[in-house]
Amino acid sequence: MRKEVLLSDAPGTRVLLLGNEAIARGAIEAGVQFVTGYPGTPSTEIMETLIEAAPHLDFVAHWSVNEKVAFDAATGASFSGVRSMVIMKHVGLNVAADSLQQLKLIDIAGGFVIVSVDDPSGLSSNNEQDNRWYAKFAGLPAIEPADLNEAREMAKRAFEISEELRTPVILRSVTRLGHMTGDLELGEFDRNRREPNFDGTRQWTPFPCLEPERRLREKLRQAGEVFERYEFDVYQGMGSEKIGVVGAGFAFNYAQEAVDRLGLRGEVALLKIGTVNPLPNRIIHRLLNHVSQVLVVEDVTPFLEEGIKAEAQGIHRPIQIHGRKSGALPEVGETILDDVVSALADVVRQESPDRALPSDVLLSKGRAEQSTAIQKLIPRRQIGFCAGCSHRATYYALTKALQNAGIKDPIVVGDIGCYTLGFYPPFSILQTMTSMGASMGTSDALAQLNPSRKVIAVIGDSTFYHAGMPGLLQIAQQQRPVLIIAMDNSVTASTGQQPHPGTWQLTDERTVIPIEDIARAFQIPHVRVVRSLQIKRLIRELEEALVLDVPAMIVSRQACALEPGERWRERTVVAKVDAAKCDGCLACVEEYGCPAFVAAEDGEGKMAIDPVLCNGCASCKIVCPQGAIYLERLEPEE
Amino acid sequence: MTRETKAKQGPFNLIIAGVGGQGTIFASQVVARAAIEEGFSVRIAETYGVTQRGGPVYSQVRIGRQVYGPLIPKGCCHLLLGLEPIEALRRGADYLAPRAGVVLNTHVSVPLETQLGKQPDLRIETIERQLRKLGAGELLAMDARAMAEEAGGATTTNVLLLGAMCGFDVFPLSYNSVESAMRATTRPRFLEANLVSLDRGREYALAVKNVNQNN
Repeated sequence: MRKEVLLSDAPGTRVLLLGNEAIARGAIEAGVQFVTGYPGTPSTEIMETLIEAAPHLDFVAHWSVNEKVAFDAATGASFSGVRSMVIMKHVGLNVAADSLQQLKLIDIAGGFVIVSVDDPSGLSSNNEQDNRWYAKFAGLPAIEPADLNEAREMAKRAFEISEELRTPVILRSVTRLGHMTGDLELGEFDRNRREPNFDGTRQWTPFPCLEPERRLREKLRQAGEVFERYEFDVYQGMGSEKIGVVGAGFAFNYAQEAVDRLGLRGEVALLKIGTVNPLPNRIIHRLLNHVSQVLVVEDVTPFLEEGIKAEAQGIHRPIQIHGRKSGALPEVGETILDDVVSALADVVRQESPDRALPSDVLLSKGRAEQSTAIQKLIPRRQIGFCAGCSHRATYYALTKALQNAGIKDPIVVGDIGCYTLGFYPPFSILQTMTSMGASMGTSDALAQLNPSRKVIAVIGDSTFYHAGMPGLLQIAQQQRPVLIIAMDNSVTASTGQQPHPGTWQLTDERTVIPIEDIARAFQIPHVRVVRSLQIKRLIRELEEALVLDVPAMIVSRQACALEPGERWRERTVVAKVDAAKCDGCLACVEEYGCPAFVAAEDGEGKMAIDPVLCNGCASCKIVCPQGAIYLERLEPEE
Repeated sequence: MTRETKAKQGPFNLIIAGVGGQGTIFASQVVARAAIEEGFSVRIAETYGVTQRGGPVYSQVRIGRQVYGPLIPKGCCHLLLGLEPIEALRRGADYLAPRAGVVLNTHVSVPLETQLGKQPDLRIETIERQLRKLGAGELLAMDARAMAEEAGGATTTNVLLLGAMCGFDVFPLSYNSVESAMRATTRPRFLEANLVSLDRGREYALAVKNVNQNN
């Protein structure tokens, strides 16, 4: 794959990489010796890349159970004197925040870099939190790259900076950079490999905290000077322009392109900001000294806009600062180039009303109306479970079991993972979903406060290990009659099949710790394990568990249909529809909704199964009231 | 217009639209590799993660001497590769530039809620008509899946459409570099099938063009 590129010791070579791979390459160039993290879109590929490279370069790279454990493990590595990195998506830093707020006060040994990939617009997340505030909140130095080359370079330099200041450094990226593929140049390898050596002569703790707190503030002041050497912040201007356009990290691309599209290159000053904390006030002042209007372009919150506004207080001349806070750009959502073009055009019109601007850079009113009219014709396409997915079978069985048990008003508590799609048709069965593992604590209280209703909590395997275990302990200790369905597909599936402590497909010698063993150790009185695709048995087990008055757990287990071993397995059967029996009742679509179900070509409203999309799992046979679905054995390919 | 002048007018913008699992990312990676082989810079924005499970996906590919961000401005897509026609129209509606090229698979993947009758159907004829009303120039509609079944197999539908795209005048890269990128990107066991479909797609596009020119 891209392994050759990642391991290549040929500085200056131009290669094609994903943004997340560029960050991984930067860590490799820095000679990172310990990396860990927890999978989460949009950050996952950084760790995956490092795990692939690790055996070739002899460093440690493995997934951790959750972000806090990962953070603490990387802390141990830094205390041992080696360069360590911890990688997570934006909300993952919430899980590790307690550790972050302590470690910041300790003079670390090996360089420590925290990678946080934020998800503007929440493309794959419940929120779009802006982790630049964590840097400010914790008082830690932080940087954010604008492009692929800088992603690689900053990931590498962050280690040096961390070691110089003896403090963790935060590298903030965003989805659009992490999931952007493009060309960049490789850099040189740092050959300063260190032997791990824990210094037991000092105490590694912030307690008592006042002296460390004072020192942290001193380090942050120093960070401002250190950052200036690296030129992460770039001013492009003549010192006389009236308008300045500032871009923070990746959003600088939109600033540049908006300037070009409006033909303003050379007429406005541009400022690229790569340092998040502390803000580079010297270079900001260089801009503020001559402009009367500033447009700030940034994802997600007006972090930089507020910072620049505060700096502008010191200039005794009115300067207008435009951005997300002023209303010039949308208050929420990922930065969109068209919005920046239109905001910049407004600023220009205000500053120099006579300056003609090109009229064809934004959609004309007529074209925009046409676009809206067509969008209204286009059907929604809801995301759903893959063909062969075990979660579909489990939700189908739960729906049937609830009907059979005559339970009409259950409370069904969801959690984070692929099975969150239980919110959508055809099941539309979930009612709550907040943070990782929250189904446990939430169902505990829902059962306590709504004793006349059956409370069911669904939780995925990886989520259970991540943050579900303490909540289950509480349910057990309280003897709360919650039915927990562990939807166990044996991998962290929604991020791309990463292993966890229950992954039995692992070929190495790590011990597998099944969910049911943990539940039994926690004294959950009723624990059963069922193969998800054995739907009849699953319905029976669920029915039995639904009427219990004690905590119960059904582990519904079947490997993820996309798990590498599963994906390429040869199908032995495909499902087919007997056209003579199908009466077009659509029960298969309404109750099961496998993407392989398609309309038959006869045009009489009958159904068929797409032989390419069918995964051969054979589970759908049960859903047809007419018994029209049958299995056809496939001839083994030569 | 030479390739050089095209690149000077700002990046060439391509959108590949489809449904999760159809291979939009693979197609965009092949184009990217071909682009850097020809000495261009390239930026691609892709949809990953849970968003891809059978849902709408699209890749935005920008090729040029200098490219900043990967996101294409509205109304600036020069070429639209529709692996699935509904998804092609969903992106075309916002992004299609005047006289843009469109390569369209006519094989519709019907959304669940449409199957259930909870929302109206969108027929391929309507999709083509709307794309033309949006100002599409060269538009090549083909049952790519049926053609792929006869060439390298149904799973090479994306590759066949990619081949057809190479036959378009607006596409700035040569077929040779796309083919060489295909060799470098494909796993060995799928390579032969992919090359067959890539070639079949290009042949078809060129044949259609010849017929149109002779009429």
